[in-house]
Amino acid sequence: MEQDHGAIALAAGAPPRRWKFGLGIRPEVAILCVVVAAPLAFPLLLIVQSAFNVGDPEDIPATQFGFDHIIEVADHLDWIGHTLAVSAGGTILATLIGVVLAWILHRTTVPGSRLFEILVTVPYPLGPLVGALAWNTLGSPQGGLINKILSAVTGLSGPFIDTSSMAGIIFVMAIFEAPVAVLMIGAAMQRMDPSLEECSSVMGAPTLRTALRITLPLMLPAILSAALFLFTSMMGSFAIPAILGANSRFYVVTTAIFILFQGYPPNYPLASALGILLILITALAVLLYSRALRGRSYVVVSGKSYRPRRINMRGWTPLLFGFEILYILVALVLPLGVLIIASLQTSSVLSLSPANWTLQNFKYVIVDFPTTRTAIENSLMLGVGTGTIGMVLAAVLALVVHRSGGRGIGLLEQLIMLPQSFPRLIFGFGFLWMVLILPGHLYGTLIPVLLGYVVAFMPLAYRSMAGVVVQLDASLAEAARLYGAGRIRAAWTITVPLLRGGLLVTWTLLFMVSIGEVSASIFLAGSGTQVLGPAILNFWESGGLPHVSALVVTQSLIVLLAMVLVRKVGGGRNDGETAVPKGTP
Amino acid sequence: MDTMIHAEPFIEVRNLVAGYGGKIAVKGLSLQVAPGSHLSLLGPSGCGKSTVLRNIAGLETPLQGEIIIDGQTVFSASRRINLPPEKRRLSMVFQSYAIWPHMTVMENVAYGLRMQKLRGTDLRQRVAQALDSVGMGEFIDRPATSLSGGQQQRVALARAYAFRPKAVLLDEPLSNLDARLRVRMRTELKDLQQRFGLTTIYVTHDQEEAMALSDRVIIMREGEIEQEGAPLEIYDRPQTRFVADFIGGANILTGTVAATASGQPTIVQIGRAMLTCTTPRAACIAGPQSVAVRPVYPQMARTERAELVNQWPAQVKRRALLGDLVVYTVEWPGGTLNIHAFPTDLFDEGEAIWLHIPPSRAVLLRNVATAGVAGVAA
Repeated sequence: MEQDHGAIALAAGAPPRRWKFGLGIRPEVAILCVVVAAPLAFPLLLIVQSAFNVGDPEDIPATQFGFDHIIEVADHLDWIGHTLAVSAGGTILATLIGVVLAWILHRTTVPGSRLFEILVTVPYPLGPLVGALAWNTLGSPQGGLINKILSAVTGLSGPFIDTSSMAGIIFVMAIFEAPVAVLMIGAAMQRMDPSLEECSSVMGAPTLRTALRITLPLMLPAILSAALFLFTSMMGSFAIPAILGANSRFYVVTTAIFILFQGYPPNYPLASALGILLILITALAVLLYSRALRGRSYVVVSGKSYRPRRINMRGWTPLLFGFEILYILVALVLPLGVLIIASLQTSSVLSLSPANWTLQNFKYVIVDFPTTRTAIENSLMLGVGTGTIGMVLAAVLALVVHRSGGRGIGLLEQLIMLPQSFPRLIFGFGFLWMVLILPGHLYGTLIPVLLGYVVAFMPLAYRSMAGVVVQLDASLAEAARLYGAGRIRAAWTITVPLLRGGLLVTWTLLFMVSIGEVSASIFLAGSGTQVLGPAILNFWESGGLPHVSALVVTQSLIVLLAMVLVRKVGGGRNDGETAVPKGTP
Repeated sequence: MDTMIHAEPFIEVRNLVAGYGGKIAVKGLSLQVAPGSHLSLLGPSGCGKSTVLRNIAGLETPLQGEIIIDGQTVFSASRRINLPPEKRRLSMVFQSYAIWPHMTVMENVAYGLRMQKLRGTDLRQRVAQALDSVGMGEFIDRPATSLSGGQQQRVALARAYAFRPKAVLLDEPLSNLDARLRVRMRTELKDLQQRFGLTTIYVTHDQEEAMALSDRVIIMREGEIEQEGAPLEIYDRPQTRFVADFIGGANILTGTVAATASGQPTIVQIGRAMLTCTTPRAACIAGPQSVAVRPVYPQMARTERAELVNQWPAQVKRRALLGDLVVYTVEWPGGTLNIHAFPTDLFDEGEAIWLHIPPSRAVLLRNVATAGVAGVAA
């Protein structure tokens, strides 16, 4: 028996002390932290410097410092007020739409939920330009299509609706961001244990009471995190206020920054000061967002996927079905419809008779006009490049974060998600400044645009990849290692094939957001490196409705094609889950 | 009772400290496995048993210590040796089986053999042979996703043995199977092990598996070895309350040592009863002590037998018939006692009986508070 005690003596005797301090950050984690942080830290530094610049406003980096421009921000509280009002209003409306749609789709017997589940996600990847241009055509006070028709029908002089007003901007923003809320809240609804509701029903609570007293409170964390996500996204929104607010001179911070840049002379310091303010507000919201997520994991995420009980809404069914139809109508059918019709016109006066329609505008923007042709080519190349580089980087990051323990992993994950706090417009000019300062003369090539996209979209790509990596059993790759495969070989023969679906979804997601990108591109893409988003904006100011519509429709077709392809190739089932940011960090 | 391993150990772990993220899961553990023998690491979840296995496999890097396999040092913190898993030539069966779903059964089993540069008919023959040994020969060309849990488990075993590793590591391989299949697989595992004669380390939280399969068992608790020994030795001579509870369950009787002298049996006063116990240690500290009595060992009788020590009048309080066995709750001068008996001779509730606890079956436990001292003293 004595030998047994020998082992115990070893254990209890003198435990080695060194291990307490022996474990530092692994080198690969440290390298990745720097790779992820540097392209954000450097631009941020330049923006902060510029905000305190009291010398030549065009000096980058700045040399003379003071508080003048920080104080000047106080003169423009209206812009900040507009931004907050539009973001708050848009968030509330989009969240409401999201809650109702997610509930109808996942928890009621209202028919058609399979089809609508796909349809409601489409407006988001189409990008903000579709909504902005379409609703500008439909709802502008002068000459908006809906106003014209209503005047003709009722005989009253309009305007009946005004999308150039704050309410109009809120409405358009909300309907185009609502798909994110539907997906995030819908995902939580699918993970909810139905017995929690059944219990309430068994105790005699009527359906509506169960929905309000049990379902809604359980969903509250998911709803809150969706709302905060939308808020940060709307704070940085540019295309919709830029187009809809142009005539009414309704400025938010992002559009004001753009104007300050375009002025002569440009006012970089004030733009930077406003940018920093926006970053601070967004960072605060992101902080709250991650808090909300942390809280949520206790309440809803059981790790299991349930088949939630669907409630028969009886007499309410037509009304709820009507709501779905209405949403698809205002967010998808009307906007795309009006843009398609406009793109077929021979002049800016809309004619509904097919006899006057032409495909000439498409030929013009795709083939004849060099600027737009280059923009389409560049955007396609950038989409492929961003998709490929971003996918590989996101996969590496997701594997490192979720497969290797140790210190620094939490830090790395937070750094990866940091671009979320940068409104893309502000990131865009900070990144541009960095490129101009750094040696290598990269400005004027597509490389800075590509790198900028990869950095800006990394949170999205990472979340998409992390969602799949978490589901992949780690022992599959470990088994390969034991059976003689090295690190690379195990990754290539086991991990990559098993992640194929997730990789494809991530690639497509990056491709789509790159094609639709506007806010960062207006700074990153200069002359000679035109890309679709800014090209559409410029074209809108100068090119006439039929041409710009043709360009937007072309952009939408590229995005839709990518969506269809990923559904066909990727087996369809999981892409809806991961194609748009999920609530999982 | 000598538990020393005489042969040169095939796998040796010295003073292993392991864990990550500032958390230490294994606190300076040493173990040895004789060639061709089967060692089980047994313990509740979170006791560090899987961490030990993963460190031996090379899937995790220890913070301290040395690991030697077949005379080769595969890890040494002081000598800065750390062989990657693919160089250690071990095979492992995972709790989740880790059958690659994008491959066929053939490709799964062939993966490791391909790494050993086996090709063509040789390869297929080896794979078929391995699959036959687990009764899965006809499944060779099936996609892996078409297999049931039990079939995946068999393929995982075939993959592990076909590789001809130095040793096989099994990480709770049966825990995802249903109870009936688990018992059957246990038998098959034992057969495989005997056929291939490979050194095996087996991690489980199921005491039945550990008892049935192992030559030696290590009970782990909170990253340390609680007790090590042959299965029956651990069952009959638990050293701590934890081991007594974890293996088989036991009545834990607390009392004070009434008499102890070298060469004399220890007597512990439990309530009003003086219980003569067996003690695994030479001397024993006076004061409050615990005694473990397995519920299968106390004997019940209707008449007193004069020749017995440890015999008391008692009364049956409760009786529960569980089919194969009867569980009695008996009131005796020491308090209450749970007894498992066969349903051959039933006693009624309320019936007065004579209770006998064989002194060899009342085991004085190591007092937890003094465990460290006792350990160092030994």
